[in-house]
Amino acid sequence: MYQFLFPNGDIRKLTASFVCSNKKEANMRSTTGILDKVLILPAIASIMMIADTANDTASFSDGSPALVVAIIAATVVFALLAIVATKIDRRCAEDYAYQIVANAALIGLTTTVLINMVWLFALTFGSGLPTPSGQMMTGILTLSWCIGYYWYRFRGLQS
Amino acid sequence: MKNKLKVLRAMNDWSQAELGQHLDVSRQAVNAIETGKYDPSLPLAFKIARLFGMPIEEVFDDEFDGGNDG
Repeated sequence: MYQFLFPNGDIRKLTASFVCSNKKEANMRSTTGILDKVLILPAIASIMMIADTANDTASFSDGSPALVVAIIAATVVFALLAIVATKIDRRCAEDYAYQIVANAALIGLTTTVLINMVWLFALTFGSGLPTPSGQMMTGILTLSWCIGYYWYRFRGLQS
Repeated sequence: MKNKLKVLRAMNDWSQAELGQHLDVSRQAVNAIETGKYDPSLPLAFKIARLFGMPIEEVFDDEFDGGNDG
């Protein structure tokens, strides 16, 4: 049984079945059908972020799209390389190890995106933080991936 | 998902490492399945069932109650 305090002061009790029933869970579950549509947004946002950052560089301040195109092309090429490498990795690693690594990668990605968002938000309000560097972000991504790995390794994949 | 892997392993007097060798997985993977930290993939679940000569649903219990949740 959960208690919820509503803004108007009401306390309402909801049974655990509200969140645990299989039917309800199934309705709330994200499916590839939903993700197919939703992931277009971060893809567009990412391209805009790349374009925005690339146009900030001094040598491309004339608005030339060459750097943007080059970065996006490199991203596509390296993503394809990573897909091939992951395929080999999946064949070589046992399913248990691969599932842990893949789930941990999701933790790493989510953590990095969240930290980046909070950091940029803090910068906007003049927090005095330094501009996050690529190396710092890579460090955050790797560290959170490792944390995710050890979490799932010791707590289990259902935790 | 619950499973009888620990019981079946004990009946055959195998260590986790020995069972892992039979299934071509690590001792850690066997331990994770036994402790419920990891649900094996379908091919591995079939492999386990075949190794012990049992139907898959006798080794694994998905705790499905028939969907009578009102």
